[in-house]
Amino acid sequence: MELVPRLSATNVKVTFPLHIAESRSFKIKIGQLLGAHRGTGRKYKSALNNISFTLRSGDRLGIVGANGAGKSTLIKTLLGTYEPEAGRIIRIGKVAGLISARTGMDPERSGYQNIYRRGMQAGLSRTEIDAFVPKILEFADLGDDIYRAVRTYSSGMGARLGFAIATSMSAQIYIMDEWIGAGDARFVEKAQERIEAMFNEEHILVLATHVDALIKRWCNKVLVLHHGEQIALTGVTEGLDIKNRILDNEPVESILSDYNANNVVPLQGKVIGGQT
Amino acid sequence: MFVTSEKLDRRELLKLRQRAIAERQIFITDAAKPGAATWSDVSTVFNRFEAIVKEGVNDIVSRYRRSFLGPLWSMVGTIVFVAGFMILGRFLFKITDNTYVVYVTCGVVFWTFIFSTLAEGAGMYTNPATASTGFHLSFAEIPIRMMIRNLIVLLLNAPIVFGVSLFFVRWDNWTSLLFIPGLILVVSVLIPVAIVLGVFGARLRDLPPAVASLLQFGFYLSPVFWLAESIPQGAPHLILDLNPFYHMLQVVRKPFLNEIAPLEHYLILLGLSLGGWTIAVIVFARFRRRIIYWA
Repeated sequence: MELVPRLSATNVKVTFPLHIAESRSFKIKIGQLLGAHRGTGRKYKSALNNISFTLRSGDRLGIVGANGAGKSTLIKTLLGTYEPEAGRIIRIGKVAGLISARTGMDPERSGYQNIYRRGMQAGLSRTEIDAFVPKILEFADLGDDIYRAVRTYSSGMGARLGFAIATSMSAQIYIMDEWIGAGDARFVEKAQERIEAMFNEEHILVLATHVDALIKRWCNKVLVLHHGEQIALTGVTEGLDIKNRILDNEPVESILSDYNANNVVPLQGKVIGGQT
Repeated sequence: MFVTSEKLDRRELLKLRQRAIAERQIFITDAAKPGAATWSDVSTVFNRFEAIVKEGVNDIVSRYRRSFLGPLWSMVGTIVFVAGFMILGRFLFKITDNTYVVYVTCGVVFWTFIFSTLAEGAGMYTNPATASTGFHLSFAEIPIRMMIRNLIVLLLNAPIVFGVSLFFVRWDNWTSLLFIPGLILVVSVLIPVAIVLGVFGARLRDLPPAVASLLQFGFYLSPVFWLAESIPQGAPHLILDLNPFYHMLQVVRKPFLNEIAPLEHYLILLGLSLGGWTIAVIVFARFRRRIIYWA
């Protein structure tokens, strides 16, 4: 059964509780009950606010923003790790998530066994995984090391295996965090070729990265995040420009008013402003 | 939404949709419908049960990786403990009754099961590794997997329990098979308690060690190696009557001594199970979404 892939977020809001570190112990909890720590209250940090977009077949979205802008949080929310505080996410189609190289791997087991482990997590049967194994072995290029525990792998080896596994299970929606930009030049080149070969017009890609070159090469839309707010959902050139100007400490309002004043129409007729 | 050549009627569409959700092809999370999110979490336990069992087996295999005896080490532990107690019992307490061997063996094996289920349960949501599988997380899967792990360890100890029981006690009727409903009842009490401990344990990091200490206390107050009959009736007997571990031990140990546990034990455990599940469902539904931030 093939579904037509779709990924949409509607007014997604995610908040992190900040009260955790201080009030985790009994001592303080009991102190609070007795009135000793009155007034600390609960603090929350808004991690994402009002994120809305709809991606359909062929949409390849790059998520950009400074450190702490909420890129990884958004990736994890789209994957279902974090549940939004408000808003809705609808994801239709087989998904492959690449949060980090060794995502979901058991370091004590061999690379070979981890292929099956990851496959099972993705809901595949043993015979389905069997079909992928040669492809994975070929790309990961680990030789006999594939039978050694993942614990003993170098980070490059782990990245190759993780990447090979995640991209071998044919998915329709690929959601990746920026680790892919790491690794040695040969691996990055190989990974890029593979992603390009893997893609077809029907797939959806969501990629969070700091590397402008990756966005230019793979994406056709850019979502700019700033302190968890969706600043713009626009074309690649404009999006990267807005992001880089934010990194240069230019005030967000002036960048956006600049764009609106010049009547730029990068995507579906508008630049979506921050707080709307 | 679906690419198909022929037209489908409503019911078939609904079936396809359900399968797609089970295969994780459709994922919907809506903050306005928290009930639906909780249900989708719980339903993964049914949809992925086979995979969860395999993961539980993997956990045990991983735990004993690169050791020669592997999981059989849990068996060795039991044998050593029982042998030690036999020496103590025979020479210090002058117990010559052979059924005492069975009593202690079952006591130790089932106590270890209860202990590790609750101790692991209290810490099961604190491991951040569970948070990074890269897929839609299921918090309902975690206690089930934890229980499967402990049932496997229990199964590894089964040869000792059955061996000792068959050697020292005559199994000439079906009474001994009562350990099956007994074990089911014990498991049905332990799972909800572990869920509640696990959720609060993730938030309050003092809880897991506190639970371990309390269980140590429970070990001495429970008739694991001392005889329940040695407690006089009346007020002292409250130590047993108010002790849930006593009722649990009774329903799983008595059958191996070829005795029938009094009905009251079953009824008390049934009550604890129903109460436990009620609280567990409320706690789980209320706090499930936040566990990830606590982990």
